[in-house]
Amino acid sequence: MSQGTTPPPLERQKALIERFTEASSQGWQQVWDWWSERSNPIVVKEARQSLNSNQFVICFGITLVAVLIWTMFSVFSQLPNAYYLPGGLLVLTGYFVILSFPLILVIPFTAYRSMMLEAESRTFELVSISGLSAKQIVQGKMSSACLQIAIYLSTMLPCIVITYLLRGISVSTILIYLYFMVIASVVLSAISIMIATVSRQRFLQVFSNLFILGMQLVLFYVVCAATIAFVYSFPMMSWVNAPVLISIGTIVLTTVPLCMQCSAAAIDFPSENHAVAIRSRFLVWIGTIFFWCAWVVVTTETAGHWVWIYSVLLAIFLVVGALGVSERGVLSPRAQRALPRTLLGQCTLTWFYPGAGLAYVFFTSVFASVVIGVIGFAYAFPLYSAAYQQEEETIAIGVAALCYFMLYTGLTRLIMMTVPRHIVGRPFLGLLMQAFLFALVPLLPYLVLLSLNDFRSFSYGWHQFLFVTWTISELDSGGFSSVNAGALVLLAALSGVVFLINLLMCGRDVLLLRVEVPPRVQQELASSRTPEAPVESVFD
Amino acid sequence: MVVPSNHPMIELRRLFRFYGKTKAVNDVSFHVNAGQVFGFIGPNGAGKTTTMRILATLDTPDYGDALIDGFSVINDPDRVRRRMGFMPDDYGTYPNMNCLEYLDFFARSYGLVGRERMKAIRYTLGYTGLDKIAEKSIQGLSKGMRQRLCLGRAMIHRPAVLILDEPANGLDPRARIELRQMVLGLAAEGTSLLISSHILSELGEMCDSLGIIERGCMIVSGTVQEIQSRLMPHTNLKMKVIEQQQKLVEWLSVQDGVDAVAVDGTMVRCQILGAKSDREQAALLRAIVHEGFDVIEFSTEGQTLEDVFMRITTGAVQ
Ligand SMILES: Nc1ncnc2c1ncn2[C@@H]1O[C@H](COP(=O)(O)OP(=O)(O)OP(=O)(O)O)[C@@H](O)[C@H]1O
Ligand SMILES: [Mg+2]
Repeated sequence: MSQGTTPPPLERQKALIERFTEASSQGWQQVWDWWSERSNPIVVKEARQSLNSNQFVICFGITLVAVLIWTMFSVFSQLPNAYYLPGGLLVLTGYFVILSFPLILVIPFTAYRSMMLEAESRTFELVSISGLSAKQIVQGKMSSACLQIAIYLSTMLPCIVITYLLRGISVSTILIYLYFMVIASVVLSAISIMIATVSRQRFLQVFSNLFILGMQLVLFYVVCAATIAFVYSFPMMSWVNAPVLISIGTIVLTTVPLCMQCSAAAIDFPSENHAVAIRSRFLVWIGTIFFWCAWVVVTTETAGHWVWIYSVLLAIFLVVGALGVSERGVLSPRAQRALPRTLLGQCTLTWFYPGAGLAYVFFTSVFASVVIGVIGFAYAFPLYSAAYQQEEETIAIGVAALCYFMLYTGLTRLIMMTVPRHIVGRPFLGLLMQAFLFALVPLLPYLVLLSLNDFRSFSYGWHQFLFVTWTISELDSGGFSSVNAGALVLLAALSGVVFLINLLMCGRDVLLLRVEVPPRVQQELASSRTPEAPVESVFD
Repeated sequence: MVVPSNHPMIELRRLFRFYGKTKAVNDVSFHVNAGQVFGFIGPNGAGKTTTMRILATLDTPDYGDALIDGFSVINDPDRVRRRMGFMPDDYGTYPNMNCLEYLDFFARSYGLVGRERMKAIRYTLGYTGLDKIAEKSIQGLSKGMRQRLCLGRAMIHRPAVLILDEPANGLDPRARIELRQMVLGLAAEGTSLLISSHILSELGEMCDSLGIIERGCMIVSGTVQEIQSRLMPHTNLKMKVIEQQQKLVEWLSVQDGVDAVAVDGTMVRCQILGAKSDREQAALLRAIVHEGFDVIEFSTEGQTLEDVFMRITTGAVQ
């Protein structure tokens, strides 16, 4: 083809092309080739882009300059006393505040923007039809965030070693803060990427931009404030708090894959089955959270903790459930290729497959297992029950929370069935619907009673059974009184009806049978299984 | 890698795609075999881009299915993507990257490693003429250069099927000719191509078959000659004889199927009913010469694709 622009010197072009297309014999070039071919192409691309762009250089420069200034300032200001007074504490606090700027603000926001920019600048489509799967794209974005974290940490490390030499601070304190900082950065990046992928529509972008900015500024402030407060309060923090560290670590470790799977699902083609992966990750995530909650109850021997644990679980399930029952997922022919074969499998595993109705039953079963687990636990370990003064209340609150989840999420699911499938942002609509139902439905009987009562306050009764917080606080204080029991029975009956309607509606999905893999796909699978003879290069 | 197979490389089965009341694609079916070039013509808003985006797995049809190398674009888009290269009419590029880095990224993303990747990049740079501007930042490229880069990206993994949405858009005349040669070269290697364009004469020269689409419906499809003969009821012949023009007119007017004859200086124009194949035209020429006329020029005229296109499309938009 002809050339329309003035070319740079030809030798330079040639050298450049050679650098890309010749296996180099130079040591560092070989290392780069080796590393880059084994890592995600997106990481390689973003690393190159960062090196060419000003943004990374400026951020990195600012951090370095801030570290230098702080080091000089703190060392010189303490200089006369540095030999006999421990000064590490002040210096370290400064370093952590400086480090939280890239780790909490810059890196997650860069990850968010880089995902968002792909959609905005219309490059995403080209990447999505390339050989990279949705999962690889998300992993690539996540890995480049991790690479940046590593770069910032490695530049800060020498400075942090200096603080240890200045005394006044233990190695464990330094490590614990680094640990918190890194996991906060990683989980924030994963959440930012997830928000970017689910809000690619233009009208959602305004909200997501505001949300991300707000969240990160608040977190930045909180982290800085907490760093200053904690480093001063527990300078000799030791490994005694290991369970706290492990619990936070495991919860984060299970959150990140869940977020990444959700991001991949949001950008993948519609017929792909991500439901199984997302729901099994959710199971691990909620299991981890529940394990640590139970751990708190057991170690403190206080059954009263179950009240807030149930409240937290109910809140999580209401949000996740609303998102689950409003997604447009359908059991596509592709997803049906992997359906369970046996009747037993159909009855137990189909709930993991795509579809709002199946999601509803899945979340309900998980919540029910949690409640049954707690009840069983209380009976199985009477040793602990001695310390439990509120065994009855625990059971009542668990059942009530489960019923509320079934009722409101079930109603949201039924309402969302009337919303057309192709509407964008359906999950957000579902979330709004859930919030609306949850906040307004209980108000109705309340207002009716209030007006009947001449607008004077009245005490709890069976008629207020839709009022979540009131019911739970009544059960917490009063246990199974006749009034509370009546409300509970009503609630259970109503939510049971809603559950049954939903169950019947997704009966069709459960009865679906596995479909055979198309012959062309079978043919390809068979040919990929037999080892091929090395092919002659097509580029020769 | 291009693997010959016994099924069509591109196959559309009753494809429908609606945007609200707009029927962007309304029951379109056709197929393209290995090594064939299919031209997709239609006025603005006809549904070409929509059809191609569905084939490129970027959109899903409301009804119907499309197969690339036997794989459904709905249920096996991952397998389709490995076999297909798509050049959209409107696309974005990355900031802070040069052409070489851009191609390198896509080569890696298709899983090309080591020598294979290096060769692919070098081959593509040479094929698209980008080797002279390899170092230029993408943002500084002209429209035509970006078109070439996008084409290079679409073909870097040597797909069996290439879908090009208005590839000639923004190319200079010389580059257009080179594009045509490239397309014919790729087809000769066995690649199936689907090309949309507004420039009909160009499509006629590089396509084996054509489809004309308007308001989402495929009005006509077939080989270039089939379309011409189906839609042009007449064959217009133009001949130049040294003398005896009037006598030739008289002779022609009594021949079978001749509709009208006119003389225009040394030229004799003749309209024959129905489409005549090259062989039939040769037979007529032989008869004329046999009658003793000194023919020095004999050709068909006025049957360009533009004429066909203008005849059958109404230019209506929805
Ligand atoms: N995302 C969309 N939302 C609504 N309508 C759309 C959308 N995309 C395409 N259309 C409509 O579908 C019809 C076909 O559009 P398409 O882009 O496929 O036409 P085209 O043949 O590629 O036209 P052109 O030659 O101008 O590129 C048009 O009427 C267009 O308005
Ligand atoms: Mg178009």
